[in-house]
Amino acid sequence: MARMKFICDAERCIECNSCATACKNENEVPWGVNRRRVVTINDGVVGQEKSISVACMHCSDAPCMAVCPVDCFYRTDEGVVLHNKDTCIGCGYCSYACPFGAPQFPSSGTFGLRGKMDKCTFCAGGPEENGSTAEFEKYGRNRLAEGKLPACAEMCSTKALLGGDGDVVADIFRTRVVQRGKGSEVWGWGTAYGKAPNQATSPNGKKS
Amino acid sequence: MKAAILLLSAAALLAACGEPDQTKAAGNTNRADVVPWQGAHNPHVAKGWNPGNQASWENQIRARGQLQNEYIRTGTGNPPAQGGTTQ
Repeated sequence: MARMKFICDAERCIECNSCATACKNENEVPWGVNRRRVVTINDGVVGQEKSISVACMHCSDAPCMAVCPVDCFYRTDEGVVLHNKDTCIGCGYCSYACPFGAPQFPSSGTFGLRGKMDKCTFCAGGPEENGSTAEFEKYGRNRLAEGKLPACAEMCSTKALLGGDGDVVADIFRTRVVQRGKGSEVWGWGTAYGKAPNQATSPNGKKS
Repeated sequence: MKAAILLLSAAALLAACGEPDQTKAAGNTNRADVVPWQGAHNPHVAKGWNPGNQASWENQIRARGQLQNEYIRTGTGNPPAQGGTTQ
């Protein structure tokens, strides 16, 4: 049984935001809602700047599921955490519970009325019929049912963001780390940061 | 007559206690979602697998996942076996 997972390689992410753009475009996510975003730490600190792409991590023991008062969440057999917008009351508890800031709330109207929660679905849609218009309008594309992987991971230009079956993703990442090493051994490090390959680094940057 | 009115009013009052069960639990919520290996009902389904066949879908997802492995795409390095390991 496939278990769907995301992993983001901070050594490769170049903060191009193509993952966020791909997600927006593929799922026609409304203005103001960002299912995926790129977070950068040590911004501007030479050699210490790192970026990762963050969205719902589809936790095995998801806190959003635990706090939802109307129990609108469910987990598929593939380990994807989804929710039912027909049940959601937009209370926002999940937003406070999530450590990744995944739940998003579209606001509209004169008083900024908060709508039903929206989040990354691992491109797996929702309870509606797979690939139907009703599902697309509420949750976006169901690429898993189309035999595809999430658009963000497939679109990533440097393949920093990997998505798919956890075993496959782990194998790819493990091979990559073994091949390239870590720290100053990473391919391209010297080119990017002006240090000789295999030269030990001494992290002294501060978080921005 | 009074007794009948009392009985009717008591029945009407107690009727409010007869609400249907509104309990929500993981066991009875959103179980209607269809598994992805049944395929999507649109023309965007990728070729190379058979909708409705779970093993076929899992192989498709693993093969598609390996497209993210540039060591396979460029033919360099020591890539893992196609399909990875299974649980």
